Amino acid sequence: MRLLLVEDDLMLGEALQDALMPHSYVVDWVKDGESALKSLRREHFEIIILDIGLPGMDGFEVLKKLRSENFEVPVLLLTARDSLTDKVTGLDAGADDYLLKPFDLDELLARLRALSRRAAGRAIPFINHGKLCINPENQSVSYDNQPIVLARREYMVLIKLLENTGRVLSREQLEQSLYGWLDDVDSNALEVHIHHIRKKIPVDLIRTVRGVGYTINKWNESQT
Amino acid sequence: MSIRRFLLAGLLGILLLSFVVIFLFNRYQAFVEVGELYDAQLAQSSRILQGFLNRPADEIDFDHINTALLAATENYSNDDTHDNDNMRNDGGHKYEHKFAIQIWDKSTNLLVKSPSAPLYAIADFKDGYSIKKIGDFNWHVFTQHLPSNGYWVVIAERADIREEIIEKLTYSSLVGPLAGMVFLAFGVILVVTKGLQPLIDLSQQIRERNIDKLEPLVLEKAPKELIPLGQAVNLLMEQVSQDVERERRFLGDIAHELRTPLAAMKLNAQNGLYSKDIYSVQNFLIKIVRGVDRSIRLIEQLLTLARLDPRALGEPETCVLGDIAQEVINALSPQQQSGVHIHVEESLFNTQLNAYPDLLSVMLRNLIENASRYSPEGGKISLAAEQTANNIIFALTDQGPGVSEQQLHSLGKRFFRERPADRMGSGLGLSIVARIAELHQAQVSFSNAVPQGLVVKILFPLANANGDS
Repeated sequence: MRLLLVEDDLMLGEALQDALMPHSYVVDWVKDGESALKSLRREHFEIIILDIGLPGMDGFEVLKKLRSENFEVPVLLLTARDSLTDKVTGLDAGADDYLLKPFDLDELLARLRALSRRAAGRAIPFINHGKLCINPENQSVSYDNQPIVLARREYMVLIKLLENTGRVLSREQLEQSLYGWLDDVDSNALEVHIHHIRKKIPVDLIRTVRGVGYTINKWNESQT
Repeated sequence: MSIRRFLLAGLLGILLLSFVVIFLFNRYQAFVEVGELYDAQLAQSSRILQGFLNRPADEIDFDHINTALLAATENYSNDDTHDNDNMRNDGGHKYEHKFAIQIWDKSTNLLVKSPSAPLYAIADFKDGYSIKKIGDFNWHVFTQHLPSNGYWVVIAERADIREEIIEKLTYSSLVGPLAGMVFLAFGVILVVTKGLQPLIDLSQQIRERNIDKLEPLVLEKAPKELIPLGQAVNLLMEQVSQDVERERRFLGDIAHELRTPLAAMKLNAQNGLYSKDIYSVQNFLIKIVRGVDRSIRLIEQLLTLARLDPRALGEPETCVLGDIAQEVINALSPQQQSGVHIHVEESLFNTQLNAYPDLLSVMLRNLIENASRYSPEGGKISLAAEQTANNIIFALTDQGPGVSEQQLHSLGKRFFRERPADRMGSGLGLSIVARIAELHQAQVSFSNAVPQGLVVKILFPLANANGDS
């Protein structure tokens, strides 16, 4: 999952990157508001972690600006001020959630999961597709109660497709959600990941739409 | 002290005092008037008798006079049982029996007397008025000598009559003033209470204020005497509320600055806990140590800022800028000194200031550390001083990147960093410098050097400099 981190503090930014990577987030990190808006206009991010205390344009302004430009991406605010007005201002400016520094890593991860769940229109924490069951909390995948071990990027592709069932996702869309700015992308890496997923899951869920991309059909009971 | 109590006690006291004065004056007046009236009456009665007696002795009908005297004072010897009746039913008066009359011949034999009179002479045989004590009572006596036959007419009147009348007159004359006084007293209480109401209202308004609610007092209905007071309070509250706001913002800034490294340290600690190999654990530990170092530095800076309390400074001393700069440079860690060349110009050693040396050294250390943090490898930091007619100007120039024009004015604000926090500064260094300058009435200005670098100038007023020693 592609995540934009907007944090001016080097130490915290680095720590957040280190913390989020192992949890299937592709973290791109900018250190001020202008760069955040530029990145958003250029690429698709599925979630934003936004610090309020930024140099120059502060977090509130960035938030207002991106909402006024109709970006609907979920935003988690990081604030070091516990005054009520800060929280209210943040939420009213269009934030989806906020977290007071210093925070617990588990809480941060839980809030991020809740945000992507809500963005995908799900209320339950699990993703079910027939006999396939995914628990984002520990990134476990099972089919018919048999655990399946997926690599980090394979898991990310599967989640991305499952959160958009019935829609065809282009190569570019999938790649954007898999790779950050610092990652090297092999031209056929996506095909390799999809190939591995197909091998590991007993049924062939992923349908290739030639010349367009990939999709997973919406689940309906008749398919069993 | 209560204004209300003072006004009430004062005004009511004055009222009471005036009442006493009126009372005493009335009594004196009654005493004089009644006395004259009764004296005149005595004299007149005496003259009436004189009219009957002023003829040769053989022509005077003493029996007749005796009967008349008897009739006049009949049944009214010295008993007071009828005192309560104001008027006798036959048209006489209760005071009648309190008169006594004696008529003596020239050889002082008692010829006639009223029953109320004693047998001995009431007074000395001497023309005029006198006061005598007979029995339990004082008597006013009028004695008159008749030249034609040498008789003496003595008419006496008991003094208690006069006293009673004086008393009655005095008290009856006080009823009006007393009623007026009571009315006045109520009026005073009412007016004082009403007059003090705006003061009570205002203090109620002030009581409702507290540190979270410092809105200005409403002075529209206040009397004009209270408006300056109200305005002064409003001004004070505005200053306090600005101070509170500034403190709050500062606390918010501190919270931000302390919580950010804490957040990073906590994340790194948890990252370390979740790591599976010892190398990445070590890596996270190193990051935690860096975070701790940064927090320590921040807290030290905060404490420095908090200790810059003008009340705790003591007296300024004569300092040589160059000596202080040299001490600061010698105390820098090798890490801070590495890669930069710090040059103290000779002018600094010729410049003396009347200042707080400890503060100057904190100021110079912050400036030098700041410059060295932003200096490129091998960069030069130069310190110079210059004395003009009115000022001593200290200037520190580095060869760092400088700052953009719009950021120049933000320098010196708390927690403002020239760049995103890529370096390990606390953001407090320049605000400490600004505060120390303020304590020396000095001004700090920033400008960009050519071709690159930042120039910090501190302008000490010469009144504060020790130019003549």
